[in-house]
Amino acid sequence: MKKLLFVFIGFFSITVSAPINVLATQEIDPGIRLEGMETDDGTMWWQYAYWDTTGGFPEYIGYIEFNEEVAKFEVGLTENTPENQQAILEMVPNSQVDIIFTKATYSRENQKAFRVHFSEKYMGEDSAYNLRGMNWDKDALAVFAEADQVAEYKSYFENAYPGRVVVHPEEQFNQDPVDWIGHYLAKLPPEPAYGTEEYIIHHFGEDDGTIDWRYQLWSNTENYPDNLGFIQINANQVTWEIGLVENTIAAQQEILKLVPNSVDNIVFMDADYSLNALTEVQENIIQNYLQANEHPQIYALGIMNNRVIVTVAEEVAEEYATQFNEKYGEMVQTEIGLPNQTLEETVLIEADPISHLNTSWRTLFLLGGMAAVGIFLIWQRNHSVANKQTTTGQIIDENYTLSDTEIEGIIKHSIYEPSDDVYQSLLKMLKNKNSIS
Amino acid sequence: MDNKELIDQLALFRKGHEDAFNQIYMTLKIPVYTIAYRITYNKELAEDIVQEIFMKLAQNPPPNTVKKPRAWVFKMTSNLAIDHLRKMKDGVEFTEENLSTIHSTKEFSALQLDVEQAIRRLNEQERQIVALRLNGEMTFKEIAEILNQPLGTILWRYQKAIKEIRKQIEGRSDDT
Repeated sequence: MKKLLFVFIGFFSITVSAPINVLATQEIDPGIRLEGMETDDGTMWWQYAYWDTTGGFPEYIGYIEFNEEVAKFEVGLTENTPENQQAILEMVPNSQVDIIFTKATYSRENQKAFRVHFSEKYMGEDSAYNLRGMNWDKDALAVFAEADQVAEYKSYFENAYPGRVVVHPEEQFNQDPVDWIGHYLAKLPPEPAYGTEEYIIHHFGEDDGTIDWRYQLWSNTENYPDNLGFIQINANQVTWEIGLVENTIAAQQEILKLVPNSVDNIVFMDADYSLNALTEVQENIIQNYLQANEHPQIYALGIMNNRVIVTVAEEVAEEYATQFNEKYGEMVQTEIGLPNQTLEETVLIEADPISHLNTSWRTLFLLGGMAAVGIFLIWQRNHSVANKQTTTGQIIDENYTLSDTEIEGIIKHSIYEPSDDVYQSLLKMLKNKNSIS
Repeated sequence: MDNKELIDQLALFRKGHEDAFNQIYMTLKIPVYTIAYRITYNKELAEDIVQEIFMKLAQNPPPNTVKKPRAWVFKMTSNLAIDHLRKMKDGVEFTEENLSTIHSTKEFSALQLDVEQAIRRLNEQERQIVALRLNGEMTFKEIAEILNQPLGTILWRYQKAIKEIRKQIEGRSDDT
């Protein structure tokens, strides 16, 4: 079977005229980020993605398809003239041999309008027509029907729209689709894996010798120097406070060497424990307590102010405090909390236990007023919600800008869980249908 | 549960191990439900979708040839959610005031609530892309395949959505 790519043509594309030599003037609108494609590489792949993203197809293009068998783009032009062909080729100097020009009967606008008309008339929910899907096939609209109805529909549409609608058996709908994305990706460097240095460079640019970049690297890869206890930015948004377990000149120099352009913006402080060690303890608690799901009175868990903080119900606070102290010593601080705390409530509730903390811890806690940046993970029991917030509970306001990574982190960790009834009802349904036996 | 583990569990389930189904449900219920909910923003609908997905999974588990069953599951979830959403729009109008359909977020922090509110203001497709990417942990390539759109378009829409969320949180939205 001849494999063709049916290029998706969006309903909302806007067709505009393109200048003859677009390459020289074609710049990505700063508001449009084609990640990994910022630079026009002169290929049809880039050009197609650009047109599709901006909706700016030249008006003389009727359709574009990728023919996998010959690995060439087929570009249908409503006016298939040497001038129009040349205009396209000048936009894609590195894809000139990959293009076949053909005559297109209809413009994209015309095709879009026809698709809308056809969809409304024959494909609606209440339609009496039994069609199963539609797709583009160059100038024509490919529609899919049950095998025994294909002939009937063919005859009907040929009469209604001569040469404009092709009817296929429904089995062919989306069958063995052409992996044009695969073709495209093969030409691109692979997307760096999350948490790697390459990922940081991809998203935040090359190492510019600043602590801001280094922080992105450390926090995104979750790979901090062994000696580092905490890192946070002061309320002035300029000075970074870095806590070191062994706060020696040599250790400070090691850090400063990594951030030569931020040496004046860093203040070193003493830290009791390394962030890596605290993270390990936190993971340990997640595995041994939270994932086991046998400790419903543990409400929240996080690394904060150089300690692992565990929030538990008041009635079991002493028991857990003893248990954690035996296992992890002073690395873990047990707090009293409520199951459904909001951010503000968390801060309020945690203000009380401060009175029994030692002075150095209290000093760190008071940094809560500062716009510190760091990691904080709260494990909420009812919906397994992990709150992401600044180290000291800073509420994001107009003075604080969230990074993409932070927003992504919040969405990733703000999750929902279906009620238990769903599973019970599912089991009942399966039992009835005798699916599990 | 990564793809390999899911393939193993599905194989066990096909052999009649009920525990494997339980394991699959417990592991996938949150991403499946979160994706469904973030597309529909309707609690009951999202729960119906979860049931439908796992019924399909139980009755017609993906064949061995499916190498990325997670993507397979999330694709079904996303398609079903969009289908349901469109049907719902044709029927009873869904409004934000219709609180019975909205999931409780009382355990969310203020920041999480802001972000959630911003997600709700995205359009249907942006919500779909964001949920598949961040809650389904799918690659952009997989999302592009599911939505039958060029990779560049998906990347652009994703970045636009994140940017819009940030604008909303920082109170810079044009419509606020």
